Amino acid sequence: MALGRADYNILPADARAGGLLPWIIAVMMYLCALAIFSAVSLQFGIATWSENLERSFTIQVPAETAGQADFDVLIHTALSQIEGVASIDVLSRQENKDLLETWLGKGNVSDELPVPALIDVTLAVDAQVPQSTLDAALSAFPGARVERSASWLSQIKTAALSIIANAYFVVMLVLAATLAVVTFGTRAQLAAHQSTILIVHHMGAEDRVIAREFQYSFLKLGLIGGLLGTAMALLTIVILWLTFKVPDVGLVAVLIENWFAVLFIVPIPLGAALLTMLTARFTVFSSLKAVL
Amino acid sequence: MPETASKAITPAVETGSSANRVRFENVGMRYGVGREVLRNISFQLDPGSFHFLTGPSGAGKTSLLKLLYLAHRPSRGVIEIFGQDVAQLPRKRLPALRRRIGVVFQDFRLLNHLTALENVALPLRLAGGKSSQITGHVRELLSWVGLDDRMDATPPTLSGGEQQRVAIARAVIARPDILIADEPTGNVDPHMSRRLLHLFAELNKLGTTIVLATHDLSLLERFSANLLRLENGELVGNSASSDPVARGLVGDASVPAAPSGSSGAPAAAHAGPPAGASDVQPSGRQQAD
Repeated sequence: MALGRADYNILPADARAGGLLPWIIAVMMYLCALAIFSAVSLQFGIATWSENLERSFTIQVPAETAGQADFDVLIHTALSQIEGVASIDVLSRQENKDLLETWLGKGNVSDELPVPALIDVTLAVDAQVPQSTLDAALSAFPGARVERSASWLSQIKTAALSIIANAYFVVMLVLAATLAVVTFGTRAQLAAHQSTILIVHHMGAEDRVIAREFQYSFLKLGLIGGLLGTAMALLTIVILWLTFKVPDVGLVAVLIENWFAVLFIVPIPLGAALLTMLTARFTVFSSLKAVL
Repeated sequence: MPETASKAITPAVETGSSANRVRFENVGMRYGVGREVLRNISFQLDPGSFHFLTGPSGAGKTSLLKLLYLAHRPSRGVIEIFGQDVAQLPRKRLPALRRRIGVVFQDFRLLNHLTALENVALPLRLAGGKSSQITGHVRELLSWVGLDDRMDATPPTLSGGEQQRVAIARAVIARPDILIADEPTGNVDPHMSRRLLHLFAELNKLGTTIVLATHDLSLLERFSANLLRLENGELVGNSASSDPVARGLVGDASVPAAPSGSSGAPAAAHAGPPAGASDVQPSGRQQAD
């Protein structure tokens, strides 16, 4: 041995081998990464989605009123005079039929079926249109009804927020479980090497010296676990993206459209390493307090 | 002693200084809620004094040593070490005191995954010594205790006697102010026993207070030192041993000088005892209370 090996570890090598610990941390961090990614991307997705919907509403005009000559021009003219209206989209007869086929089945919508006209109106950013203004503009179209998205959007937002809250709750649970696993792991190592620790303790080693023996090995284990877990999570996201990279696939679409949410999981390995190190350090300190 | 060692801790050459005195006053000790294993222990170890601690098995020698090396607090009474009341001292201040106390455990307590060299270097490392400075002194001391060719061996591959010498080297390498040894010569041959006692005596001359727990009556007869005798948890004797002559040490040409470190050369390489070796005796004789 080179006596120059003055940086040799006081604890034997098996005290620094984590066994299954890196894998357990990897699984924890995998769940943590997916939960964070889901929460963040959903948060971004809902924000964008609701911003668009809050500025739009749909006008439904009964078939008998919509059947009048030059209805499209008249309604367009009436709505375009309202200040703040950015776009007006009168759905064609075919588009209406396509919508109805979702409910009635393909080919079941006959031309004789009285189908109301639907007009999508989008307002300019920050524009406010009072209901009275809309009512005045639509007075020439008996039976016309305005359906604002805001009425059902708040329910969807509430549902989305509860999903996000649950995701963060999962993150907290996973972190708590990681703390518990690392604490038990550190205690097991302390118990396994109690005699060695007592010897150096009685030789005058300060608690921080003994803690240092543990904390850096646990830092390494946490980093390995964090890297493994984050890599697995990124792989999962890529697979999801490749599998569902088609429009209109619901929640998954929201997730993959906000791919940049992966930036929020990149620091996870570092976080896992720090969390593991600090937990081990705290555990060693609290355990050594029981020894004079 | 090695130069690094002497720098690693405060030199204990202030013989007579009350700061390095050990004082037990009406000390009692119990484990948990059990009965007291030590009762009404009162004595004083002056700096640089040499003491044998003796008594039958179960008398409380190991418990008394635990109090001395700060592994246990007394259940009552006052223990003053280095001018500090250790019963009242905050826990965080104990490591600094422990680093000034060398201990040779009866069961050696070497770290099996470290080599003999690393084991002996450990106190200096804990005291913040640099590896480059530590190396030479550790080698010198191990060489002096006859382990030149066993420095890289781990304790499980060493004989009992070799392990004991490593344990002693580890205890003395940092030149402690107090050296506590529990049966330090129990596993070595008479010649090595004399060498080790010579090492203790050399340390003692430099001001280290020595407390040796032993059953070895011949050691007590051969070696002049103060005697602490425990029986059934009580101190029944505190006096100088009957034979004042350090037979087996005095004038023994086969015992080389302890590594001085000041000359820079391993002391074991000396052809014979250095000047003054003939008067190697523990210092600081203490009269009975």
